[in-house]
Formats: sequence, C-alpha cells, structure tokens
Amino acid sequence: MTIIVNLDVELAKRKMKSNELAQRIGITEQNISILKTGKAKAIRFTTLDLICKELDCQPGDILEYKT
Amino acid sequence: MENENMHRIQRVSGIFIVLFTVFIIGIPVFTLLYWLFFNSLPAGFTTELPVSAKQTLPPATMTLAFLVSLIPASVAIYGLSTLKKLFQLYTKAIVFSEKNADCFRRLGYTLIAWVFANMIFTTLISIVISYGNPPGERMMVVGFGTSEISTLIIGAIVVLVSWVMNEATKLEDEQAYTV
Repeated sequence: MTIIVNLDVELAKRKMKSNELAQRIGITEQNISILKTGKAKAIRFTTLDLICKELDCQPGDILEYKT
Repeated sequence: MENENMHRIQRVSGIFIVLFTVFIIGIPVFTLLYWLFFNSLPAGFTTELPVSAKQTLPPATMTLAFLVSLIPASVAIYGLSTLKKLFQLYTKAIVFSEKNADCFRRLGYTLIAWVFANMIFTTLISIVISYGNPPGERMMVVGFGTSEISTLIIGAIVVLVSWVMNEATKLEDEQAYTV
C-alpha cells in the first residue's frame, strides 16, 4: 500500500492518545488501530471529516502518498 | 434487528449441528445393523436394493455387502461433516469467510461424488447380492437416470454458489477494514 497514514504523528503533536480520539469522534479504538497500523482498506469521508475537525488538520496531514 | 437475526442463525445452526452429529454416528451404525440382520429383515426393508436375494446371504456376502455400502455411506458422512463445520461457523457468527466458501465448494463436489458413489454401489451390490443366485439369475445393474442428473446439476450449482461466496468474502473483508 502506497498510502501512508500519519495519524500517530498528528496525535503525538497534540499529545493525544488513540483511545481519547476514538471516544471524542465516536468510533471504536479498534478502528483507530486499523487506521494507525496501515491495515485500513478504505476510510469514509465522514470519519476523515471527524478526525480533521477534532485534530484541526487537513486530510493531507493524515494521508500521504509515497512511491 | 440485525442482532436478532444473527441470534436466530446461531440458535438454529446449533440444532442442526446436533442433528448432523446424530446422522454421522447413525449412518455407519445403521449400515452395519442392516447387513448384520439382513436375512431377518421384513421384505419392505430390502426393496431399495437394485436386486433381490433369492436365498439367505452367507456371512461373507453380508460382510462384502457392508463394505460396498460404505462407499456411498462415507461420501454421505463426509458431506454431513462439512455441513457440521459450516454450521459451526454460523454459531460463531461467521457468515461470510473463506472457510464458509470452502465448505460450500466441498459440499458441491460431495454432491457430485455422491452420484458416482451411488452408481458404483448399485453395480457392486447387485453383483454381491445376486452372486449366490442360481445361474441365469445373477445380475449386474448400472443405473443413471433423472435423479442422478438432478443431483449433478444441484452439485454444480452449489459449487457456483461457493464462487459467489468467495466474492462475498472479499466484500466482507473490505467492510471489516473500512474505517
């Protein structure tokens, strides 16, 4: 997979834990873990919207394309 | 509503597992008893055989007949074991997985194998039973009719369903890893 998820970087910058983010945006910790570990096959726009709103960042801060 | 349906699937699957287990044990036991007491069975119990025995079968013939009967019986037991495995997955709420698709595929091929197993059984049992008959009354029966064709078609359809289930597995996997 050439799409890298940098969610852990953004969480570290804000000193926020995964479970805290999960609780705030209303998704399971398991889903956050799937996202962080690069196992996700797709992300809903609604989820991306909630993460960006909570972390006050852009989708490009979380998702990166690497060749 | 979704959980209620899954609970129903799990509950009914549990009942079927018990039923299949009974059949898996019952088929070889019944087959053994059938041939053990063949000579004392009422006439109605032997009409399913392709030929009739004109005389009492000796123990060696009954043993051979029992072994021949194990051919379709083993296919039936394998099919029932596969069904049991499939329903055990359902009791664990695993509905669309590679294992489910694999069970369907094996069930399809088992149905196809059942047709040929029965054909072999019919031919061999007719020889075994009629061998002790007077000359001119010994027979070899070969049977292939609409019932066999229907079972082959159903078997092929079940194999096709397993291919569809494989596609469903991919969708389920996609769904599981969509955040």
